[in-house]
Amino acid sequence: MKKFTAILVCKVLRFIGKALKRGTSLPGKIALKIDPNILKKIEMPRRILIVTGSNGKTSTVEMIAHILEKNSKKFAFNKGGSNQIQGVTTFILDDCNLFGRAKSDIFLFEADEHFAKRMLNFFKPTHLLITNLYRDQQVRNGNPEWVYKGIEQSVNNTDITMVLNANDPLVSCFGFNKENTVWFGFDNMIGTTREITSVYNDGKFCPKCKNFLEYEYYHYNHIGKFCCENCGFKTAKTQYTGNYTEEEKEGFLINNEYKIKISFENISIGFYYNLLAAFAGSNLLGIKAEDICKSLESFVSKIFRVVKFDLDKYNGVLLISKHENSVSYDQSIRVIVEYNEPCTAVIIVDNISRKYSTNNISWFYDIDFEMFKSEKVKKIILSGFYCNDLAVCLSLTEIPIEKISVFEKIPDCIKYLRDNTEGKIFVITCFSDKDKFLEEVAVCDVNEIDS
Amino acid sequence: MKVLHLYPNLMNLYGERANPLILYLYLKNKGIQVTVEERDFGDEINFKTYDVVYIGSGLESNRKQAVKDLFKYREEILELIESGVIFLATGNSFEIFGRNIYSEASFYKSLGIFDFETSEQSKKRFAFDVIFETEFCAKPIIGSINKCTEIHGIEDHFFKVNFGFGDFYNSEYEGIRKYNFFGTHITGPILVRNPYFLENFLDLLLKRVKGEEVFNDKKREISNTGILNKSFETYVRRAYELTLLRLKTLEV
Repeated sequence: MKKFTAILVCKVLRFIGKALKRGTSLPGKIALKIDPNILKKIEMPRRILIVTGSNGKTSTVEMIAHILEKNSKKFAFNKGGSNQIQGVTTFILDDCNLFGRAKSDIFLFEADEHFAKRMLNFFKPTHLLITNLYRDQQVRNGNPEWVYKGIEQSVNNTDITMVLNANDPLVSCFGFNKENTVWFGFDNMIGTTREITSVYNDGKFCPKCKNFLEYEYYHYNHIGKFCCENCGFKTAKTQYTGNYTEEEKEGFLINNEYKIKISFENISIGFYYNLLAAFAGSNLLGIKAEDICKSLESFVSKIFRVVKFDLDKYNGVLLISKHENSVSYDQSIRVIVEYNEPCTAVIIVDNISRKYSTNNISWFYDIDFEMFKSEKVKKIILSGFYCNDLAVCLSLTEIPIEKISVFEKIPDCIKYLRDNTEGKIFVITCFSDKDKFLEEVAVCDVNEIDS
Repeated sequence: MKVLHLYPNLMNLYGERANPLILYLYLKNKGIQVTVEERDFGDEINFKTYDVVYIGSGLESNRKQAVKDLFKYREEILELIESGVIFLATGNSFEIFGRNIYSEASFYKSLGIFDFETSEQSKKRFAFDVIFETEFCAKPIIGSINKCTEIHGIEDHFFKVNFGFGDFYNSEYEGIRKYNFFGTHITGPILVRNPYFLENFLDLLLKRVKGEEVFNDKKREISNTGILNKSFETYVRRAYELTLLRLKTLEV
């Protein structure tokens, strides 16, 4: 009876809320008050996939949703990734009939790492996909191992099928010697190196036994093919294997059979992993490989987080990156350096976090700014509240100091760009700061999804 | 002069490589011959050959490895610290020098150079910004902390808390300063973010290595060539002032 009341109240409140254009958390909050165990009593769909990880979860989920839609699946997903259990409760009850049976055949969730572990305490998905675990948002996440332990407690001794990035050592721990694990990863990738190129190595020690981890190669940062000679922990054999080679430059192959075409510029290396993860995820949700490839063709151009703009006679591209996330910054810098034509790079750090009050700039020193030594990068402009901290950090590299200009106020930075730009403009900044720049220039093309 | 960067990989979580780097650059700029040697897990370490030892913060599991690795050097390290060799330990690395580290289920012995105890829990992480004060430096210290431990039993406090909290929740004091051992839970590039603290730290270092006369040489003018030029000084100080001001606004 409690269950019935909770669902009814939630539905009524949601109906009113929709009419008044209110948020989604209140109906779920009340429903949980009426019956705290409501989510355990629901007859869930046969397939539920939660996607989590430091980077790429929004892109991956959006792609899977697109694939499901193109293939006429009856599914529901939390667009934009509500990170509150109340919102998720509203979402689930809204999809149920009054007897508590889900109408959709599939539920798809995006959850940040911190929220994923909370969510798992309320209900269990059939599949949990983890993209990667990096140094990211210290106030929310602590450190990667802390995040790992939080999620691990919630998935231990469950029959959840884990869908894991085999090239990420910490993520791989979830599936070490465990059945019910599906692995994805890249064998070949353009730009792979024998030695690590980033400024720190989170793959130096085996996360299982702490002995040295040996790498055959690195695709980027500590993502690659690894093996621990002491305990046998290693990159698992992948069921979804990507191959991205010079011969297949306009796309890449999955399992040497399925071609994923990529038809846009300024793509970051992490995006290839998102595509592979989306392929694996949707295949596990019952979509045929051929149909996935076909669906992705109509999608890929919409997803990448790039904003093109004009500033007087100059063309520019804003690469949305994540503050507090050195891997994200490394990938954006790599896009700029690989452009390989004269350009001006702009970095804006004005507000470090949207959610938390933090002045922690230690992550600057985890970024490989040394890449900016490239002769094609003519100028480096630093702007925003933390531009002086950035200037200090860049001064400690071998980048010629004459290349660097510093403007605390973003309008001053734009004024300088009007008269002093060389080549194309590339801007690196976060969601929290992007509009401070974009509202001053002429935006021509917004292909991005806010997370 | 020889700087030891202890466990640059094992104890590396928050850009702390900047600390030995800035020491190296400043000393070089002052015309002092300086080398920074990195020694990681399992490496042979001859502690006696160094003038200053730096160790940064790491994963909790890595800190445990560091304790394991350092145990054989315990006596050597104790002797060194008591003789006044400068140690700077940031983040959870300074817990290595205390007596025991307790977790929810068990505990392990740490080096026991100092008498304090550390207790670790896995429920809540504390990540926050701080303003601290110390007799060692006229200007306040700014920084960020990211920890899941409490420390009890420190008598020789390094800092008095101005904003944030100290060794345990609501504690007014933070870190340890005894002999020339400086231990604080502040993580990241503490020496880069606090130029005035860095000056005094370098003075202490030079006084120990070169004797009194260099210490009295108050000419702090740095040459306008190389990385540490005038504009660098401006950036460093401006960054410090802006952050301090912002933290002070939060404090009210």
